[in-house]
Amino acid sequence: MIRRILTEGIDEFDMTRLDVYRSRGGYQALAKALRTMSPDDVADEVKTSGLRGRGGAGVAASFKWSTLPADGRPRYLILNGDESEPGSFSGRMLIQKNPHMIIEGALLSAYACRMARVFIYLRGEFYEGAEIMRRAVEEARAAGFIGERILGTDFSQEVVVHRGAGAYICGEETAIMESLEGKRGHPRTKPPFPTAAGLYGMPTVINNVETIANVAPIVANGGAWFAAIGPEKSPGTKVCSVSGRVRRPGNYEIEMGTPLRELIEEHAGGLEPGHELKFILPAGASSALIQPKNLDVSLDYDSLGAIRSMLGSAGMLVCDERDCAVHVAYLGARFYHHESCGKCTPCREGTGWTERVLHRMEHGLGRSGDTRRLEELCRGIGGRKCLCLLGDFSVTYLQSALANFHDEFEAHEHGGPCPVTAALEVSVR
Amino acid sequence: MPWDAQAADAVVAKYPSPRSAILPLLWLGQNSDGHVTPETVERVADRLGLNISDVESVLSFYTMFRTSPPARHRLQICRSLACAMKGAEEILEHIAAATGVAAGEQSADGGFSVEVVECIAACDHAPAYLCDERMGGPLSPQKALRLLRGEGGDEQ
Ligand SMILES: Cc1cc2nc3c(=O)[nH]c(=O)nc-3n(C[C@H](O)[C@H](O)[C@H](O)COP(=O)(O)O)c2cc1C
Ligand code: SF4
Repeated sequence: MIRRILTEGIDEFDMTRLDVYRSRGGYQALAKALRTMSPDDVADEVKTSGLRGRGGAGVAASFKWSTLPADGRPRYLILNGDESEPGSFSGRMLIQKNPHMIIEGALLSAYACRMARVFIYLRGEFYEGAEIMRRAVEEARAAGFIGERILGTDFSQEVVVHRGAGAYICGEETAIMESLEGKRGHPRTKPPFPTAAGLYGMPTVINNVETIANVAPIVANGGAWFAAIGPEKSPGTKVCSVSGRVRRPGNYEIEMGTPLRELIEEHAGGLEPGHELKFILPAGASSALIQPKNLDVSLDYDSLGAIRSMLGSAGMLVCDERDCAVHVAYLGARFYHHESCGKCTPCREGTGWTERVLHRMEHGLGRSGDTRRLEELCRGIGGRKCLCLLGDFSVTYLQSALANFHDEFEAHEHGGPCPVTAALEVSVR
Repeated sequence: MPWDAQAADAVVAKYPSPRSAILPLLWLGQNSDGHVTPETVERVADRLGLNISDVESVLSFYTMFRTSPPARHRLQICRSLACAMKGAEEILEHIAAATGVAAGEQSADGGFSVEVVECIAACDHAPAYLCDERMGGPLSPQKALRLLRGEGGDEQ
């Protein structure tokens, strides 16, 4: 079911304007919190809400916040708006269409966690998003929501919009800190975890922009209100990005627990006319594929985990019979090889090998044993051998495709045109 | 354009540590000169108290910084999953056939360049593109040629 919390009003009104956002209740949660709630009260509401991180792993926001050490060092909040996973584009929309809700959520989170500064990290390609976000920050500052003694209270907070400059890896939580420190975006070894020693070595919380946007409505309406939406363990809504072979690609904010079938068939308009669903990548290029027989799965963290896939950032890439599983694997492999930062050998070398094998299979030069070679490569790269999860991401879809479409891979071992699409052309004729 | 010391100071002041200002200062330089010039690298190093090689090392990591002047119109076409499925490669072939300019190249007169990029978070508009910093899509071969001539397209 469509349920608009984060996207409420964004199609009808220009919510990037402060006056419009305010006329629809904006910044009232901030005023309420600063005047009637302690930072711990705000943190408690977020804990009650059960809000889980929308950027990937679904870690409870309150859990991360609660692990900040109380040692008087400055703390930092980083909003992750790097959004570079192929298939994900919900952050882009929220940044461009509802920047004030992100800012209000950031201010509330910073108040709750007593942050010294907030950084909004936006991927470099979001030229327009960065302009909109900067304007929104300046408007909010001029109105007294950012800066010294906000709304006449003792609470002061600075918000800095920081642009990346092209690198998928900078979405990873330790790489984003390196990047913000003015270095190459290489991930760091963990532990220490960011909450213990993050940006400039200080306690740091990194949350996705969508996670933080939720904090404003949570404080406005209460954590219990939020906790009652959707399944108990995955409360709230998720903005799902649907792309690929559907009639109406786009962002759809659904209540958690909505069946995948409803999202695809009703909201995204179903498959393009005359075509048939083959599989779906539910969390972009890095997720295990979902088969049509699982289309009734409910969209929440645990249900997708139970069918050995994931909700992640909910970038749903829909594939039909025209999409050869090997072709999709090749596209993914090319992406991950391009984006590997090169620090760990299994990831650097493995993504290169994988791309090369898939490239020759895809281009009619496959060799006998290539399918088995890919399976071995997956084992060599996966299994958390690397500094960050990019290596694992690069083999997740591939492993699921090898398991589900083994014959398509084997059929590419003998060279010649793609046997999957060739068969299609024959049957059309 | 001359280095705007005041603008640079304002950027540095936003961060707890000066080094954090590298990316924003490089952006400042690229936005005013069209690319990151050796002078910008020197000034950034100087302003932040870093070695030139430190700044160059950061500069080379991030794919969006250019160290040579850009073409008048720059078309960047996404080749990641959704866009490739919807024909991005065919559009690149069409452009190459029609203009002789392949991905990664610039036209001889410097009028335009064509590049491929990885996912730009616009899969709903696949095949998506960035043209002179504006995101748009879906791209067609005809629209691509119009964009290269600087005639604009219907942006998203
Ligand atoms: C290679 C890689 C890329 C990532 N890219 C992003 C991203 O673009 N946006 C994001 O929010 N999280 C991304 N993540 C996840 C972050 O590391 C981090 O878990 C997340 O920002 C935490 O926010 P959340 O708890 O609110 O979900 C990425 C992780 C990896 C390993
Ligand atoms: S896993 Fe890959 S991207 Fe991540 S740190 Fe290692 S080499 Fe870099």
